[in-house]
Amino acid sequence: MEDPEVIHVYLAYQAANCFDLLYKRYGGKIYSKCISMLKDEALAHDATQEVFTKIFLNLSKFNEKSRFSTWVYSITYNYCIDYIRRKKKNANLFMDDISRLPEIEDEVSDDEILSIAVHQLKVILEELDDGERAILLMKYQDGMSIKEIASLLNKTESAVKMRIKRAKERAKHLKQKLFKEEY
Amino acid sequence: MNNFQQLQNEFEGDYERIGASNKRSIESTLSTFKFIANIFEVYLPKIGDLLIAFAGGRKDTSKPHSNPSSTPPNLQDFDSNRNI
Repeated sequence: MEDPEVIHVYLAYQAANCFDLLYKRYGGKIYSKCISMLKDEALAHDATQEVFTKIFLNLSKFNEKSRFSTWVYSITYNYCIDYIRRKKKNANLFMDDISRLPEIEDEVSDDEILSIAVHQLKVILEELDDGERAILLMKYQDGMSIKEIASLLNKTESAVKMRIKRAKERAKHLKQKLFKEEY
Repeated sequence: MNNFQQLQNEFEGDYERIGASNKRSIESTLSTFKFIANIFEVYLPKIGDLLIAFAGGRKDTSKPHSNPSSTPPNLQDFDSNRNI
């Protein structure tokens, strides 16, 4: 059963097995994003509960213009970004002033990022800024398009491209710095 | 599956340990919301009437009920012409 079908049945009959199915499909994924973003197990557990509750309370608002997974992930990222902003007292995770960023000479290829070993990637993601981490997860973990990321972050597509470029550069730099002996 | 998705799988594996208890919490929160929504849906109009009654108001029964068999006002002229 595809996601939209499950949602229709849930909304019509409040069927418990539809809830189970969606929880099975997305519970772990939401948790994974929460722990990657918040870097704290207990916080990630609470966040997963709150995000899932939010999703189910707003299920009727899902308009099927995007994939259900994209909608779920955008709620998750927005929740985590809001939490981090509140915690860091209005820190701007995705600042607009890209003119302040240093010019990047050669773009890091996707292959270079996707060839990082999982144990290295875990450490690198922890070291990255919250905004950089989020944008890399959206692109490489969730397969979101530039357009989808731009709409989620309320930024222009060119700003998102620049952010991704910067984040990839930082990830490469961190890999060289943290895993010198393995490099 | 790329390295980012493998990492996601690792975290998902960790989540399986506590997933069941989290699920119960979510279900209980959702049923609480549902319960409150039902109460509002069923009892809110009655609460409104109750508050009006407490405030000293009562149902307005002075207006005469319209007689469904009577001629609607816009057709009264038509009826009188027909009788001629």
